[in-house]
Amino acid sequence: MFRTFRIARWVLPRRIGLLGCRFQSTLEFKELHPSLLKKAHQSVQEIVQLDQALSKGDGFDAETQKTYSRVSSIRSMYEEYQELLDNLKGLQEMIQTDPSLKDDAKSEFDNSLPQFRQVSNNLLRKLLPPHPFAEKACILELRPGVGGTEAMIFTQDLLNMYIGYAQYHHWKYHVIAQNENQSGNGLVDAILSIDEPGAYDKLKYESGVHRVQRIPATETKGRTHTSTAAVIVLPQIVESVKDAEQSERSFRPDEIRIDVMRAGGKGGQHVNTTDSAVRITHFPSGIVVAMQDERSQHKNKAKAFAVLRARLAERERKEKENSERAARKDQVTTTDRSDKIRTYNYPQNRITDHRCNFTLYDIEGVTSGVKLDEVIDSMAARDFEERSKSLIE
Amino acid sequence: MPRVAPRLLKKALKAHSLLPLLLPACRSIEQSAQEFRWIRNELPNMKQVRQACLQRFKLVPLQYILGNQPFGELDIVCRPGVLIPRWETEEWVCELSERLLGSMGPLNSPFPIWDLCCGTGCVGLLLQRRLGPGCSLTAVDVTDAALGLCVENAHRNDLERPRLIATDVLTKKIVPDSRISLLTCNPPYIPKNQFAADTSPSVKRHEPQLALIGDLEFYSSLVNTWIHHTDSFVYEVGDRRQIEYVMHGIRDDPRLQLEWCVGYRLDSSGCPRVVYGYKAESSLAGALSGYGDLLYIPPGAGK
Repeated sequence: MFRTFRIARWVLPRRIGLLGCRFQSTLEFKELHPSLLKKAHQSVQEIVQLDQALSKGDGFDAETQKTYSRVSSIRSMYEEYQELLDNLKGLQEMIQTDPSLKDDAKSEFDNSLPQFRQVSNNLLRKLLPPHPFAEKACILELRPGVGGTEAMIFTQDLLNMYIGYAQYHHWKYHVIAQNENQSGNGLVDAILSIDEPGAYDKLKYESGVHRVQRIPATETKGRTHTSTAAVIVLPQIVESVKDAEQSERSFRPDEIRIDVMRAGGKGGQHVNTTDSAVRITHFPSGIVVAMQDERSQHKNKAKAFAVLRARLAERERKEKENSERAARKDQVTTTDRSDKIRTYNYPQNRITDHRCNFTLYDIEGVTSGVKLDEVIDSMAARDFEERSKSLIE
Repeated sequence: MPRVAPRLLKKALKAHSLLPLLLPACRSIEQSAQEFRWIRNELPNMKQVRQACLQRFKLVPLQYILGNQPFGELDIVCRPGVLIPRWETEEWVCELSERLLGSMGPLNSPFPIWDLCCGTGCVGLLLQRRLGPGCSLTAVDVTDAALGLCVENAHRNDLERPRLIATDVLTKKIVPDSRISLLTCNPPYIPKNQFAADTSPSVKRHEPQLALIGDLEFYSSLVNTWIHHTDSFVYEVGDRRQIEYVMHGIRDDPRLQLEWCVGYRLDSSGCPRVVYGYKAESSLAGALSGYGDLLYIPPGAGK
C-alpha cells in the first residue's frame, strides 16, 4: 500500500493500517502507492487534452464540465503533493549529510510533515471514484424488527434521532409517512425525507439492523430486552411533485398497478370519502409502496412514486456494486451488509458500531442526533480505507 | 346507516377519548385515527378539535369542518352550500391537464376555457394553474355562493380572477363571445330516484342537492347547445347511461356525426367517470385521443 521511505519496512504492522500515522522515527513518511500516482498522472494528462479542446473552441457540455472540475482539482492537489514530497526528500537528505544544518532542517521537516499527510490523504480521497448518489438528498425508511412493542418504541427513537440529526445540521426534512401502532407509543413504519443535497452520502452507512438493549418501558419485571429496528437509506431521485408526475409517466402501464383503497359503490358525487390511501405495485421488481398520510390522493400518489423511484435506484446501485465485486472476485467485507450494524446499550450508556468496532459512551448524545456524526465519521473512515484498498487491487 | 360495533367503539376509546366520535363517518379505527390526526394538525386548540369531532359525529363532511380540501396543487376553500371537490374529479383534471401540456406545451395562443357548474371552481382553476397564463377561464354557476367561493379560491391560490357568469345553464341561452377551446362541467348527475338509496348519509344531509340531483338535462344541453360553441368538452358522469346518451346524441345528429369523436374514461376504482369529445380536425385531437377509450369516430377521420 504505502512505501516507507528510506527505512526499509515493507511490511506494515497490522495495527498501523492503511492510514495509520504512527511514526517510529521522525524521518519516516509515507508516499502514496505507485498505482495511485499513475492514476493522478492520468488525470493530469486528461486535463491537458481538455485544455486543448477548449482552446480549439469546442464548447463544454455539462458532463465534461464536471470531469474538468474534478480532474483540475486532482491536478492541483497532485502538484502540491509532488512539491511537498520533493521538499521533504531534500530536507531528509540535508539532515543525513550536513550535520551543521541538522537542527534547522529537522524542525522544518517536522513542520511540513502534517501538511504533507493531509495533502496526500486529500489526494487519495479525490482519486476514489465518486459515489453515484453522493450529491443526492435522501429518504430513510424505518421499520421495527423483533421485539414487539419495544421494537416499535425503538423505531420511534431512531426516527427522533435522525430528525434531531437533521435539525442539528440545519437541514430541511419532512416526515413523508408515519404509522403509529395501536396503542400510540411506537411506530409500525416511518419514512423520513432529508432534503439536503449530499445527505445520502452522510447517512448511507445507517442502512441495516440497529439493535437496542434496555429495560423497556413496557417491562414490568425489570428485565433487559434486546430488540431491533431496520433502517433503509435511499437516494432521493424525485425532488418535487412535478417530477413525480413525470416519473409516473416513465413507467409502462403494464409495469405498475395503482390501487386506491376504496370499497365499491358508485363513487363520484354519491359519496364523500376522506380515505385517500394509494398503493402502487411495481411488477418487475415486486416492490409495493402504500401511502395514506395526505388528505389528497393525488399527493399520496406523488409521494408513493417518489419512494418507488428511490427504492428502484438503490436496488439498481446495489446490483451493480455486487456484480462489480463478483467481477473482482474479492471477498472484501462490505460496509452495507444487511445484518446487525449497531448496538445501543442503555444500561452501559454505550453505542457500538459493529462494522468498524467503534464504541462511544454517550447514548443521550447519539440518540439526540448531536453526536451521531462521530459514529458516522468513524464508519466513513473505514469505508474510505476499504475503498482505497480496492482501488489498488 | 349501519351501526358501529361496540367492540370497535371500545377499541377506539382506548386510543383517544374523541376517536369514537369519528367512527360512524370513518367506519374503521385506522381511518378514524388518520382523520383525527388531520383535524389536530389543522385546528389550533383542543376545544376546536372536540367541536370538530362532535360535528363529524353528525356526519358533517370533514372538508366543511376544516374549511378546505387539497385539489392537485391547489388548496380549495369549502363551505356549506357548495359541492366538495371529489378525488375522482381531481384525478381526471390532473390527467387532462398533463395530456394538454404534453401535446401542446406551454400555451402561446389564447385558450378559452369555460367551466360550467363550477362550484368551488376547482376544475377550471387547476387547469388554469397548470396550463399557465395563456388560458382564460370563464366560470358559470347558478348560485352566487359558488361564484363567490370560486373567486376566493382563485385569490387564495394566486390565480387570475376568472370571468364570472351567474346564470342557469339549462334555462338561459348564453352565446359565448368567442369560440371555446375546452368546455368542462361537473353537473349534478345523481338521478332523483337513486338519491335516497345510493347516496351516502353524509352527502345526503350536508351537501347541496342542487349540485347533486340531476340526470340527463345537462348532457342534453351539451349536445343541443354548448357543443356548437366549443372545440372539445369534458363532462363528469355518474354512470354509463349518461355516457351513452352523449354518444348517441352526437352519432345520431347529421352534422355532429361528421366531425366529433366521443370517448369515455374510468376512474381508478373502475367506475365510468368522464365523457369527453373533440373535433377530429382540432388541434386538441392529439392530446385527447388517448385520454380514455373512444366510442365513436366520425367516418373518414381515420385512427
